[in-house]
Amino acid sequence: MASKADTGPVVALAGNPNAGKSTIFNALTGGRQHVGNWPGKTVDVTSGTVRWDGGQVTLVDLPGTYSLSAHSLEEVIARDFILEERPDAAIVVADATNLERNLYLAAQVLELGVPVALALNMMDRAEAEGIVIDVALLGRLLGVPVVPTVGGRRQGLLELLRLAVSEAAPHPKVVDYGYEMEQEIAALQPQVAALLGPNAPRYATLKLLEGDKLALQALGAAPEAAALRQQAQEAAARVQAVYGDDVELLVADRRYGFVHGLAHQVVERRAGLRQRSLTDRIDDVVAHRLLGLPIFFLLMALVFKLTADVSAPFVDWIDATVNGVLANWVAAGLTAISAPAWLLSLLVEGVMAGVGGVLMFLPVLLILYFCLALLEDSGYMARAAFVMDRLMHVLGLHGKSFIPLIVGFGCNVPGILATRTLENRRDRILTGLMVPLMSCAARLPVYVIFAAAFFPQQASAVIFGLYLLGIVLAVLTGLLMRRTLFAKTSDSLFVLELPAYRLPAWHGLRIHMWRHSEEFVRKAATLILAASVVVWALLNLPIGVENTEDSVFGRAAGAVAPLFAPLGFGTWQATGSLATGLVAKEVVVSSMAVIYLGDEPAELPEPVDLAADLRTIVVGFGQAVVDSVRIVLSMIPGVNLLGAEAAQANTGLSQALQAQFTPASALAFLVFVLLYAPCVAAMGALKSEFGAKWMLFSFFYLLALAWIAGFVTYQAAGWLLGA
Amino acid sequence: MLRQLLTLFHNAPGPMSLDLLAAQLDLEPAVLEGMLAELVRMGRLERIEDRAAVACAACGHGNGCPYVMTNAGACYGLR
Repeated sequence: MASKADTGPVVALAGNPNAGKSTIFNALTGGRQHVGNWPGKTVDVTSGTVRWDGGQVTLVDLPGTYSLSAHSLEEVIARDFILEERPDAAIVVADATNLERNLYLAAQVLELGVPVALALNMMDRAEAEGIVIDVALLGRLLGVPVVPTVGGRRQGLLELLRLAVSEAAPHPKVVDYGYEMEQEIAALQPQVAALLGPNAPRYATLKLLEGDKLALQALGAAPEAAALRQQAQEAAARVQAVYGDDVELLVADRRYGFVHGLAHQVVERRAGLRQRSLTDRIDDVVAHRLLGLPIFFLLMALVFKLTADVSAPFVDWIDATVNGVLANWVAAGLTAISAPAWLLSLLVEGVMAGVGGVLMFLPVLLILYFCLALLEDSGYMARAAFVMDRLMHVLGLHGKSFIPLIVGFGCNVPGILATRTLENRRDRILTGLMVPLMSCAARLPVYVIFAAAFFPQQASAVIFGLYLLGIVLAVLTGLLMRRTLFAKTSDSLFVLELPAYRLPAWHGLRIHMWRHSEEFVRKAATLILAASVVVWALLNLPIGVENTEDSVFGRAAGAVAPLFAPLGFGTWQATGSLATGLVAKEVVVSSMAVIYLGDEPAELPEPVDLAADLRTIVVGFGQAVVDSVRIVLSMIPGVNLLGAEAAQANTGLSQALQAQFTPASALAFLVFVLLYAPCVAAMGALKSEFGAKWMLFSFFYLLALAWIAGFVTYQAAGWLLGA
Repeated sequence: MLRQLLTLFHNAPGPMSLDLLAAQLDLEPAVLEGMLAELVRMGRLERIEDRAAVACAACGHGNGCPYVMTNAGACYGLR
């Protein structure tokens, strides 16, 4: 077997959605993963390394697909990776409880001419459901190593990898397409191999006979290619004359027949065990036509309550540690060495206030991503798409479009990229325009800080309300677009599969949670650090400026500020913070920290007592843990361990904001932050996916929407709250 | 398999549930759903949403009777 010198053997991981492919990938690679751009494609492919037996194997996680028919982008990516990158082997992960449907993909991967090993995953559940699979016979019939696995418990995984690397061999002629078709394949295949090379000539010949556009284009413009196209057309016509149907249907028909026969030979169901599963019984409730939607919104409300309340003690602790103890250490150190005042100001009021002001929200994001990973890995997210299916159809979309929207709650960029899974361009653009209205996690620090300052008793309700407002406006945007720009296009088609519920594996949750939060920390160390320094510098220019309002930043923001006066926050500070939020939404908080906290008169550092400070940090952390546990327990009906305490973060910035905003203008500001133009990374994603025209459309549409919604909120809240 | 399925659509006496159709073809319902999706992708069938809520007689699908799907409230009909 050919090995890559630097990466070791490369093994591609293919499988149906929800077959447990990612669980196996995570279990085998652990944290040794990276998302890289596939050369020549604008597609990110996740790969990871497995160190084992003195060497290493590189695993590549292909998108989950039901087939390789190349009707969707995921199918094209999975197929092209195997065809073009020629991995040393492919592992097909099949759900053992639904083997027949999964074997269809396995047959297609085999036809690509790559060595294949088959994982019969979730064997424990198959056995519990009375499904008996003759593993040895299946291996013999397919000509590949077959290994029963339980991904969540890591059973069989190393054996699977060992067999994939050492024993799997190509077996492309797995399906017999009948005498006439095989004759035509045999006649054309040598010419195809001569023109396209030795990679998967049987598969390429089949695609030519099917009249596949990509396969016909791949032949190129040489005279021999034109002759081959002509021969393929004539051969397809002969086959069609014999069978009375086109080759594409005949090929799929034969493949399904092969898979059906195979499943009949190797799968046996024990009588009496075929009964309604636990998944069926849970779905009776959570996917119910009437109950499904309220349950979905209740769950989302619970997620945001957990996120806002449980993280609050840790947010306070980080704030006290970074902006209290650590800032004092830095100030005392610099004072001791007689450092210039500007350096003290830069480090304490610029860097520490800015970066610390954002980093303290790490617990918020960790809990949010943990909850989203829990919902996804348990199988509930597919139900969320299912229950939203009807609502999405009102917009001319289907439930599958809801998945990028849910992903957008974490970060809008992967949400926009996830629109690639939709079949047609209209769906992709329409969904892509809705994604920025999903409140990404970067906006959460702004909500938390304002909610703590102005609505401490109703903080989680305010935050949930903002998320809900984003969803409602996304739906209205969809309706508007559907009736205007996309009025003349028809719906696309899609079948939604609901995976069985499963208990999420802890290491999978941990990887999901940390992968997203790590990005936040990296941003804090780079983009937010740079933005904080720039904002600090602009606030202190021209040199010697006395009042920050007269600084470059203050004057530039002040020029635009009147535009926001009707929204209640027409100050240079608020306007300037919003402008910096275009870099990344977290920067709104770091800018506010630099502007509001940096503007406070500098205090002389207190004398450093290292032992006392360390004790304060450790005891503070312990208290945060205890408080969080009390908050979680108090969510159980009938249990109240909190008394009258508010479970909200109460930082220095919260207190500074109370002097600058009213409750009505704070609400309007939050609505504006929710809706206004996406950050540069999201705009970049919109441009790369849909082009500059749609990116600009999204930018100005969202800006206008944010202004109108902020204005309405300020006026309505002012009337209701009397402020 | 797919051709047999299309023949059943052509000769359909009336609406039929997914489970019944799967039993007739000796298939698991999940496998049948995969086949239906494949036929939709090939342009041989069309998927029509939200027909479960109306009586079959009121459906007005002009191109032969579709099979009513019991799980997702959708029908598949010949194109």
